[in-house]
Amino acid sequence: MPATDEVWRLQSGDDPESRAFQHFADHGHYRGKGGTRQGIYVCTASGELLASANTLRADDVLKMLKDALEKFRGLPKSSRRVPDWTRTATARRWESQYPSGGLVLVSTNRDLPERLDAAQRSKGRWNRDHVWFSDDEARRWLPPELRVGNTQRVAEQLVERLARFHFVDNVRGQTIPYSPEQVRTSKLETEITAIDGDLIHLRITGSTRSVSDGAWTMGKTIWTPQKNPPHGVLTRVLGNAAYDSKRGAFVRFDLVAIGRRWGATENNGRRRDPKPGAIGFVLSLSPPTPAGRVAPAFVDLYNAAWIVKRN
Amino acid sequence: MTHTRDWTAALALGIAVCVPFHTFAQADTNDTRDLEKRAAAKLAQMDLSADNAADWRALIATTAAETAWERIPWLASFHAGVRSAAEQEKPLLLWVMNGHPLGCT
Repeated sequence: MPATDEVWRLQSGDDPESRAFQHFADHGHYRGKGGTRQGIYVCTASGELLASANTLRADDVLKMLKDALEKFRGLPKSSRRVPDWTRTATARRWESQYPSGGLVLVSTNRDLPERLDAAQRSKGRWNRDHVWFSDDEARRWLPPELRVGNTQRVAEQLVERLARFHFVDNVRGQTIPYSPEQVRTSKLETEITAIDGDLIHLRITGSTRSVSDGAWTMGKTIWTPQKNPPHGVLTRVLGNAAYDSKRGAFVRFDLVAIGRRWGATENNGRRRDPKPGAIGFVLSLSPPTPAGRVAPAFVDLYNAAWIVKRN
Repeated sequence: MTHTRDWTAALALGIAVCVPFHTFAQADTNDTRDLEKRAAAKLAQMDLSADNAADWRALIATTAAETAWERIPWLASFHAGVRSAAEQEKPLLLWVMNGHPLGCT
């Protein structure tokens, strides 16, 4: 049964679910308590570790899976029962605040070549994230009056969310967000280009500017860096979307942002190669699947009053 | 006289120490502005329009090969995985990273 999860919470938490994870992970490939527990584990439902590794080599993983399955077949039925900790309430997950009926996007962030070459086949490295807007926030992408030609300056709060948390350089690894004052001149505009029954067609244009001189002004958070060199991202944005006014939801959202990035943050993998470069982002509707419901990386800092932050 | 000379020496030492730091900080700020200016100049040379947006999109979006691992029906939490493994009497395959593997890592 394949499952995946975020490890920082599991390896450091004190709730029953986290302790259950630590119980077998501490006997895995890192051999002891403390530190990261990233990797691939095979275990029984009751929590007995069968195998683990942290490797990119497919053959090694395949061998590990086969060995683990062999061990599993030799275990008593009692190892397959539902453990008691799953019957109690688990620690609250951000996914419980998924904005049903809102605008939920999946973003692909990728290093770009300096020039567009439509024939280019090989692509740069990439990462992904999810973007959340509530149903009220989704409606605010449109002009108040729905008429062809009407335009709307997208609310600063919504543009800020993209510029602070999503048009960031996380292509090679997790990065840190920008503060509000570091993205102030960012702007997006929508224009109604056509109305087709209930469908409102929009064009989205604009630009974002996210620039940090190395100052960290967001207090003590899980993202607070120990070192913070200057870094930034500038983008130009172009997109199309369709909003179903009867359903009150976007049915299509297709946004491209191309830009420039420079500098490095502690964990974004640029320290050894901080040379500036081109970067691109594609945002589209996220599918309503378990994968599509995973919370945004910076949800704990999101500028959204409807998200209840943990203490 | 000695007191005045000591005070003057201390002031001179302070200036000698502080001026380079100020100059260094100013250079840092100048470097940041310079980096941004150069980035803006490069961005101005990058064309994004209705004519080529689809090409940029194709270059950025993931391919089927890059996301082959998504065809596995991953459950999105350890908790859900354990429960399903127990219900189906199968071992649990758990993949964990800093950042959720189905999101930003």
